[in-house]
Amino acid sequence: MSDTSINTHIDTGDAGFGDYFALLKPRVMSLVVFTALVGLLAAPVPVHPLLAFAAILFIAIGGGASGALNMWYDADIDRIMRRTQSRPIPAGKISESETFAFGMFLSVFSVVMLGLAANLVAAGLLAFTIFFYVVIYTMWLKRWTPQNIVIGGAAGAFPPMIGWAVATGGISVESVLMFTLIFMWTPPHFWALALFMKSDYRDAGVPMLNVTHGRRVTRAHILVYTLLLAPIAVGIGFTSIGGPLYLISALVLNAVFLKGAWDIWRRPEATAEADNYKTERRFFTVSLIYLFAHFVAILLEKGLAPYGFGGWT
Amino acid sequence: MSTAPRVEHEIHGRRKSRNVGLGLVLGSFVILIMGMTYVKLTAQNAAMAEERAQTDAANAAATGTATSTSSQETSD
Repeated sequence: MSDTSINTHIDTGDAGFGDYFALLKPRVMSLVVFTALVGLLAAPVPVHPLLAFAAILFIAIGGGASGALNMWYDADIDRIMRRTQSRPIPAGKISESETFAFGMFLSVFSVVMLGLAANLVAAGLLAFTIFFYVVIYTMWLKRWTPQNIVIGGAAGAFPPMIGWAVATGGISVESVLMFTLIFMWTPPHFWALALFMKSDYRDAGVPMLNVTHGRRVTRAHILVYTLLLAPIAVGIGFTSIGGPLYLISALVLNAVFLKGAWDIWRRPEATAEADNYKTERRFFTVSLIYLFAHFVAILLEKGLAPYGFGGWT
Repeated sequence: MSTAPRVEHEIHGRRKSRNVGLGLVLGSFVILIMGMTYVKLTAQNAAMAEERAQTDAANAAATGTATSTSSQETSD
Protein backbone atom coordinates (compact mmCIF):
# COMPACT_ATOMS: atom_id res chain seq x y z
CA MET A 1 0.00 0.00 0.00
CA SER A 2 2.63 2.46 1.04
CA ASP A 3 4.78 1.51 -1.95
CA THR A 4 1.89 2.21 -4.33
CA SER A 5 1.34 5.67 -2.90
CA ILE A 6 5.05 6.52 -2.98
CA ASN A 7 5.37 5.55 -6.65
CA THR A 8 2.27 7.51 -7.61
CA HIS A 9 3.71 10.49 -5.81
CA ILE A 10 6.91 10.39 -7.85
CA ASP A 11 5.17 9.88 -11.19
CA THR A 12 2.66 12.72 -10.93
CA GLY A 13 5.24 15.40 -10.14
CA ASP A 14 2.48 17.34 -8.40
CA ALA A 15 4.37 18.68 -5.42
CA GLY A 16 2.54 20.67 -2.78
CA PHE A 17 3.32 24.27 -1.83
CA GLY A 18 5.22 23.08 1.24
CA ASP A 19 7.58 21.03 -0.94
CA TYR A 20 8.62 24.14 -2.87
CA PHE A 21 9.04 26.02 0.38
CA ALA A 22 11.27 23.20 1.68
CA LEU A 23 13.57 23.80 -1.33
CA LEU A 24 14.36 27.23 0.15
CA LYS A 25 15.92 25.65 3.29
CA PRO A 26 13.65 27.49 5.75
CA ARG A 27 15.92 26.89 8.75
CA VAL A 28 18.93 28.44 7.03
CA MET A 29 16.65 31.20 5.75
CA SER A 30 15.63 32.08 9.32
CA LEU A 31 19.29 32.76 10.18
CA VAL A 32 19.65 34.84 7.02
CA VAL A 33 16.53 36.87 7.89
CA PHE A 34 17.61 37.45 11.48
CA THR A 35 21.21 38.51 10.76
CA ALA A 36 20.19 40.68 7.80
CA LEU A 37 17.55 42.35 9.95
CA VAL A 38 20.11 43.10 12.68
CA GLY A 39 22.50 44.51 10.07
CA LEU A 40 19.73 46.73 8.73
CA LEU A 41 18.49 47.92 12.13
CA ALA A 42 21.97 48.47 13.59
CA ALA A 43 22.91 50.80 10.72
CA PRO A 44 22.93 54.53 11.50
CA VAL A 45 20.53 55.37 8.65
CA PRO A 46 16.80 54.71 9.27
CA VAL A 47 14.82 52.85 6.59
CA HIS A 48 11.06 53.08 6.02
CA PRO A 49 9.48 50.00 7.68
CA LEU A 50 7.81 48.79 4.46
CA LEU A 51 11.02 49.11 2.44
CA ALA A 52 12.92 47.37 5.26
CA PHE A 53 10.37 44.54 5.22
CA ALA A 54 10.59 44.25 1.42
CA ALA A 55 14.41 44.27 1.52
CA ILE A 56 14.55 41.53 4.16
CA LEU A 57 12.01 39.50 2.21
CA PHE A 58 14.07 39.70 -1.00
CA ILE A 59 17.28 38.87 0.89
CA ALA A 60 15.48 35.82 2.34
CA ILE A 61 14.24 34.78 -1.12
CA GLY A 62 17.79 35.18 -2.50
CA GLY A 63 19.15 33.03 0.34
CA GLY A 64 16.39 30.47 -0.30
CA ALA A 65 17.12 30.47 -4.04
CA SER A 66 20.77 29.62 -3.39
CA GLY A 67 19.54 26.82 -1.09
CA ALA A 68 17.38 25.45 -3.92
CA LEU A 69 20.31 25.56 -6.36
CA ASN A 70 22.44 23.82 -3.75
CA MET A 71 19.81 21.04 -3.48
CA TRP A 72 19.73 20.77 -7.29
CA TYR A 73 23.51 20.32 -7.56
CA ASP A 74 23.87 18.13 -4.47
CA ALA A 75 20.91 15.85 -5.22
CA ASP A 76 23.26 12.86 -5.69
CA ILE A 77 24.87 13.14 -2.25
CA ASP A 78 21.58 14.17 -0.59
CA ARG A 79 20.27 10.72 -1.56
CA ILE A 80 23.14 9.10 0.36
CA MET A 81 23.24 11.20 3.54
CA ARG A 82 20.64 10.25 6.15
CA ARG A 83 20.25 13.88 7.25
CA THR A 84 19.21 15.01 3.75
CA GLN A 85 17.26 12.03 2.42
CA SER A 86 13.90 13.65 3.17
CA ARG A 87 14.61 16.73 1.04
CA PRO A 88 12.18 17.24 -1.89
CA ILE A 89 14.48 15.87 -4.65
CA PRO A 90 15.70 12.68 -2.90
CA ALA A 91 12.13 12.09 -1.69
CA GLY A 92 10.96 12.21 -5.33
CA LYS A 93 8.58 15.12 -4.83
CA ILE A 94 10.24 17.62 -7.20
CA SER A 95 12.48 16.91 -10.20
CA GLU A 96 16.04 18.22 -10.47
CA SER A 97 15.32 20.32 -13.57
CA GLU A 98 12.33 21.93 -11.90
CA THR A 99 14.44 22.74 -8.85
CA PHE A 100 17.10 24.33 -11.07
CA ALA A 101 14.50 26.51 -12.85
CA PHE A 102 12.92 27.45 -9.53
CA GLY A 103 16.28 28.42 -7.99
CA MET A 104 17.45 30.39 -11.02
CA PHE A 105 14.19 32.30 -11.32
CA LEU A 106 14.15 33.24 -7.63
CA SER A 107 17.85 34.25 -7.74
CA VAL A 108 17.32 36.75 -10.56
CA PHE A 109 13.99 37.89 -9.13
CA SER A 110 15.38 38.55 -5.62
CA VAL A 111 18.42 40.49 -6.88
CA VAL A 112 16.38 42.70 -9.24
CA MET A 113 13.72 43.35 -6.59
CA LEU A 114 16.31 44.19 -3.91
CA GLY A 115 17.91 46.64 -6.33
CA LEU A 116 14.52 48.32 -6.80
CA ALA A 117 13.53 48.23 -3.12
CA ALA A 118 16.91 49.33 -1.71
CA ASN A 119 20.01 50.08 -3.80
CA LEU A 120 22.49 48.57 -6.23
CA VAL A 121 25.17 47.91 -3.58
CA ALA A 122 22.79 45.68 -1.60
CA ALA A 123 21.60 43.97 -4.81
CA GLY A 124 25.20 43.41 -5.92
CA LEU A 125 26.13 41.89 -2.56
CA LEU A 126 23.10 39.57 -2.73
CA ALA A 127 24.03 38.49 -6.27
CA PHE A 128 27.60 37.80 -5.13
CA THR A 129 26.34 35.83 -2.12
CA ILE A 130 24.21 33.57 -4.34
CA PHE A 131 27.12 33.13 -6.77
CA PHE A 132 29.53 32.37 -3.92
CA TYR A 133 27.28 29.79 -2.27
CA VAL A 134 26.25 28.01 -5.47
CA VAL A 135 29.39 28.18 -7.63
CA ILE A 136 32.32 28.70 -5.25
CA TYR A 137 31.06 26.57 -2.35
CA THR A 138 28.60 23.99 -3.72
CA MET A 139 30.12 23.31 -7.15
CA TRP A 140 33.80 23.83 -6.40
CA LEU A 141 34.98 23.75 -2.79
CA LYS A 142 32.53 21.36 -1.11
CA ARG A 143 33.71 18.22 -2.92
CA TRP A 144 37.30 19.31 -3.47
CA THR A 145 38.91 20.54 -0.26
CA PRO A 146 38.55 19.81 3.46
CA GLN A 147 38.68 23.59 3.96
CA ASN A 148 35.30 23.74 2.14
CA ILE A 149 33.43 25.01 5.16
CA VAL A 150 36.04 27.69 5.96
CA ILE A 151 35.80 29.54 2.64
CA GLY A 152 32.21 28.50 1.90
CA GLY A 153 31.16 29.95 5.24
CA ALA A 154 31.50 33.40 3.68
CA ALA A 155 28.21 32.86 1.86
CA GLY A 156 26.33 32.62 5.14
CA ALA A 157 28.21 35.62 6.53
CA PHE A 158 27.04 38.16 3.93
CA PRO A 159 23.40 38.77 5.08
CA PRO A 160 24.20 41.32 7.87
CA MET A 161 26.44 43.14 5.38
CA ILE A 162 23.58 43.22 2.87
CA GLY A 163 21.19 44.49 5.57
CA TRP A 164 23.68 47.23 6.45
CA ALA A 165 24.05 48.13 2.75
CA VAL A 166 20.25 48.37 2.40
CA ALA A 167 20.26 51.16 5.00
CA THR A 168 23.54 52.95 4.25
CA GLY A 169 24.16 52.09 0.60
CA GLY A 170 27.72 51.05 1.43
CA ILE A 171 30.15 48.93 3.44
CA SER A 172 31.81 49.92 6.74
CA VAL A 173 34.00 48.53 9.53
CA GLU A 174 30.90 47.48 11.50
CA SER A 175 29.37 45.50 8.63
CA VAL A 176 32.71 43.85 7.84
CA LEU A 177 33.06 42.83 11.51
CA MET A 178 29.55 41.31 11.54
CA PHE A 179 30.55 39.39 8.40
CA THR A 180 33.77 38.21 10.07
CA LEU A 181 31.90 37.10 13.18
CA ILE A 182 29.75 34.66 11.19
CA PHE A 183 32.64 33.73 8.89
CA MET A 184 34.88 32.66 11.79
CA TRP A 185 31.99 31.03 13.68
CA THR A 186 31.00 28.73 10.79
CA PRO A 187 33.98 26.30 10.82
CA PRO A 188 33.83 25.29 14.52
CA HIS A 189 30.03 25.06 14.25
CA PHE A 190 30.11 22.67 11.27
CA TRP A 191 33.15 20.69 12.37
CA ALA A 192 31.39 19.92 15.67
CA LEU A 193 28.43 18.65 13.61
CA ALA A 194 30.80 16.64 11.40
CA LEU A 195 32.33 14.99 14.49
CA PHE A 196 29.05 13.39 15.54
CA MET A 197 27.58 12.93 12.00
CA LYS A 198 30.76 11.24 10.83
CA SER A 199 29.39 8.42 8.68
CA ASP A 200 27.10 10.75 6.69
CA TYR A 201 29.89 12.83 5.16
CA ARG A 202 32.20 9.83 4.68
CA ASP A 203 29.49 7.83 2.87
CA ALA A 204 28.73 10.76 0.58
CA GLY A 205 32.41 11.31 -0.21
CA VAL A 206 32.40 14.91 1.01
CA PRO A 207 35.98 15.72 2.09
CA MET A 208 35.15 17.12 5.51
CA LEU A 209 38.21 17.75 7.66
CA ASN A 210 37.43 14.82 9.96
CA VAL A 211 37.26 12.48 6.94
CA THR A 212 40.50 13.64 5.28
CA HIS A 213 42.73 14.62 8.23
CA GLY A 214 41.25 12.67 11.10
CA ARG A 215 39.29 13.57 14.17
CA ARG A 216 42.29 14.71 16.26
CA VAL A 217 43.13 17.42 13.70
CA THR A 218 39.45 18.47 13.52
CA ARG A 219 39.35 18.92 17.29
CA ALA A 220 42.49 21.07 17.13
CA HIS A 221 41.00 23.15 14.29
CA ILE A 222 37.85 23.78 16.34
CA LEU A 223 39.97 25.15 19.18
CA VAL A 224 42.12 27.33 16.90
CA TYR A 225 39.13 28.86 15.10
CA THR A 226 37.33 29.49 18.39
CA LEU A 227 40.46 31.27 19.69
CA LEU A 228 40.60 33.42 16.53
CA LEU A 229 36.88 34.12 16.74
CA ALA A 230 36.93 35.49 20.31
CA PRO A 231 38.84 38.79 19.70
CA ILE A 232 36.63 39.57 16.68
CA ALA A 233 33.45 38.96 18.65
CA VAL A 234 34.68 41.04 21.59
CA GLY A 235 36.15 43.70 19.26
CA ILE A 236 32.68 44.51 17.86
CA GLY A 237 31.88 45.79 21.35
CA PHE A 238 34.20 48.78 20.80
CA THR A 239 32.61 49.92 17.52
CA SER A 240 29.52 52.10 16.98
CA ILE A 241 27.21 49.05 17.05
CA GLY A 242 28.64 47.79 20.35
CA GLY A 243 28.32 48.98 23.91
CA PRO A 244 28.65 47.81 27.52
CA LEU A 245 25.79 45.31 27.25
CA TYR A 246 27.25 43.76 24.10
CA LEU A 247 30.74 43.70 25.56
CA ILE A 248 29.68 41.87 28.72
CA SER A 249 27.58 39.40 26.68
CA ALA A 250 30.47 38.79 24.27
CA LEU A 251 32.95 38.18 27.10
CA VAL A 252 30.65 35.63 28.77
CA LEU A 253 29.65 33.91 25.51
CA ASN A 254 33.23 33.62 24.29
CA ALA A 255 34.40 32.26 27.64
CA VAL A 256 31.71 29.55 27.43
CA PHE A 257 32.49 28.84 23.76
CA LEU A 258 36.23 28.62 24.42
CA LYS A 259 35.63 26.25 27.33
CA GLY A 260 33.56 24.03 24.99
CA ALA A 261 36.29 24.07 22.32
CA TRP A 262 38.93 23.30 24.97
CA ASP A 263 36.85 20.32 26.20
CA ILE A 264 36.46 19.02 22.64
CA TRP A 265 40.22 19.33 22.02
CA ARG A 266 41.13 17.45 25.19
CA ARG A 267 38.70 14.57 24.67
CA PRO A 268 40.05 11.27 23.42
CA GLU A 269 37.99 9.74 20.61
CA ALA A 270 37.17 6.66 22.68
CA THR A 271 35.57 8.76 25.43
CA ALA A 272 33.55 10.73 22.86
CA GLU A 273 32.30 7.56 21.23
CA ALA A 274 31.43 6.05 24.60
CA ASP A 275 29.07 8.89 25.54
CA ASN A 276 27.74 9.35 21.98
CA TYR A 277 29.57 12.67 21.46
CA LYS A 278 27.82 14.44 24.31
CA THR A 279 30.35 17.30 24.51
CA GLU A 280 30.40 17.78 20.73
CA ARG A 281 26.59 17.87 20.59
CA ARG A 282 26.48 20.38 23.46
CA PHE A 283 29.11 22.54 21.73
CA PHE A 284 27.00 22.50 18.54
CA THR A 285 23.91 23.67 20.47
CA VAL A 286 25.96 26.33 22.29
CA SER A 287 27.31 27.55 18.94
CA LEU A 288 23.75 28.27 17.77
CA ILE A 289 22.98 30.21 20.95
CA TYR A 290 26.37 31.96 20.71
CA LEU A 291 25.67 33.52 17.31
CA PHE A 292 22.05 34.33 18.08
CA ALA A 293 22.98 36.03 21.38
CA HIS A 294 25.67 38.21 19.78
CA PHE A 295 23.22 39.58 17.24
CA VAL A 296 20.50 40.04 19.88
CA ALA A 297 23.02 42.06 21.92
CA ILE A 298 23.77 44.29 18.89
CA LEU A 299 20.03 44.77 18.44
CA LEU A 300 19.56 45.63 22.12
CA GLU A 301 22.35 48.21 22.02
CA LYS A 302 20.56 49.92 19.14
CA GLY A 303 17.10 49.55 20.67
CA LEU A 304 18.12 50.90 24.09
CA ALA A 305 20.16 53.84 22.71
CA PRO A 306 17.18 56.26 22.56
CA TYR A 307 16.59 55.62 26.28
CA GLY A 308 20.18 56.34 27.20
CA PHE A 309 21.17 52.71 27.88
CA GLY A 310 22.58 51.45 24.58
CA GLY A 311 25.93 52.17 22.90
CA TRP A 312 28.89 54.03 24.33
CA THR A 313 27.39 57.55 24.35
CA MET B 1 -9.34 -0.45 -7.18
CA SER B 2 -9.46 0.68 -3.60
CA THR B 3 -6.35 2.83 -3.88
CA ALA B 4 -7.34 4.82 -7.02
CA PRO B 5 -9.78 7.35 -5.48
CA ARG B 6 -7.46 7.90 -2.52
CA VAL B 7 -4.47 8.60 -4.80
CA GLU B 8 -6.49 11.00 -6.93
CA HIS B 9 -7.62 12.80 -3.81
CA GLU B 10 -3.98 13.18 -2.69
CA ILE B 11 -2.99 14.60 -6.06
CA HIS B 12 -5.83 17.10 -5.96
CA GLY B 13 -4.94 18.04 -2.41
CA ARG B 14 -1.32 18.76 -3.34
CA ARG B 15 -2.36 20.63 -6.47
CA LYS B 16 -4.84 22.71 -4.50
CA SER B 17 -2.28 23.58 -1.82
CA ARG B 18 0.14 24.68 -4.53
CA ASN B 19 -2.46 26.78 -6.37
CA VAL B 20 -3.76 28.45 -3.21
CA GLY B 21 -0.19 29.09 -2.00
CA LEU B 22 0.87 30.56 -5.32
CA GLY B 23 -2.26 32.72 -5.46
CA LEU B 24 -1.57 34.11 -2.00
CA VAL B 25 2.09 34.75 -2.85
CA LEU B 26 1.17 36.62 -6.06
CA GLY B 27 -1.56 38.62 -4.30
CA SER B 28 0.85 39.59 -1.51
CA PHE B 29 3.48 40.53 -4.08
CA VAL B 30 1.07 42.90 -5.87
CA ILE B 31 0.18 44.57 -2.55
CA LEU B 32 3.87 44.84 -1.63
CA ILE B 33 4.76 46.47 -4.97
CA MET B 34 1.88 48.95 -4.54
CA GLY B 35 3.09 49.80 -1.04
CA MET B 36 6.72 50.17 -2.17
CA THR B 37 5.66 52.42 -5.05
CA TYR B 38 3.62 54.62 -2.68
CA VAL B 39 6.50 54.93 -0.16
CA LYS B 40 9.10 55.66 -2.85
CA LEU B 41 6.91 58.25 -4.61
CA THR B 42 5.98 59.94 -1.32
CA ALA B 43 9.64 60.17 -0.31
CA GLN B 44 10.57 61.46 -3.76
CA ASN B 45 7.79 64.08 -3.68
CA ALA B 46 8.89 65.23 -0.23
CA ALA B 47 12.50 65.52 -1.40
CA MET B 48 11.45 67.46 -4.49
CA ALA B 49 9.24 69.80 -2.42
CA GLU B 50 12.12 70.43 -0.02
CA GLU B 51 14.49 71.08 -2.90
CA ARG B 52 11.99 73.49 -4.49
CA ALA B 53 11.51 75.30 -1.17
CA GLN B 54 15.27 75.70 -0.81
CA THR B 55 15.59 77.01 -4.38
CA ASP B 56 12.70 79.45 -3.81
CA ALA B 57 14.26 80.64 -0.56
CA ALA B 58 17.62 81.13 -2.26
CA ASN B 59 15.98 83.01 -5.15
CA ALA B 60 13.99 85.18 -2.74
CA ALA B 61 17.11 85.99 -0.78
CA ALA B 62 18.98 86.87 -3.98
CA THR B 63 16.08 89.01 -5.23
CA GLY B 64 15.78 90.71 -1.81
CA THR B 65 19.48 91.55 -1.77
CA ALA B 66 19.31 92.89 -5.31
CA THR B 67 16.20 95.00 -4.49
CA SER B 68 17.72 96.45 -1.33
CA THR B 69 20.96 97.23 -3.19
CA SER B 70 19.15 98.94 -6.06
CA SER B 71 16.90 100.92 -3.66
CA GLN B 72 19.99 102.00 -1.76
CA GLU B 73 21.60 103.13 -5.01
CA THR B 74 18.42 105.09 -5.92
CA SER B 75 18.32 106.84 -2.52
CA ASP B 76 21.97 107.77 -2.88
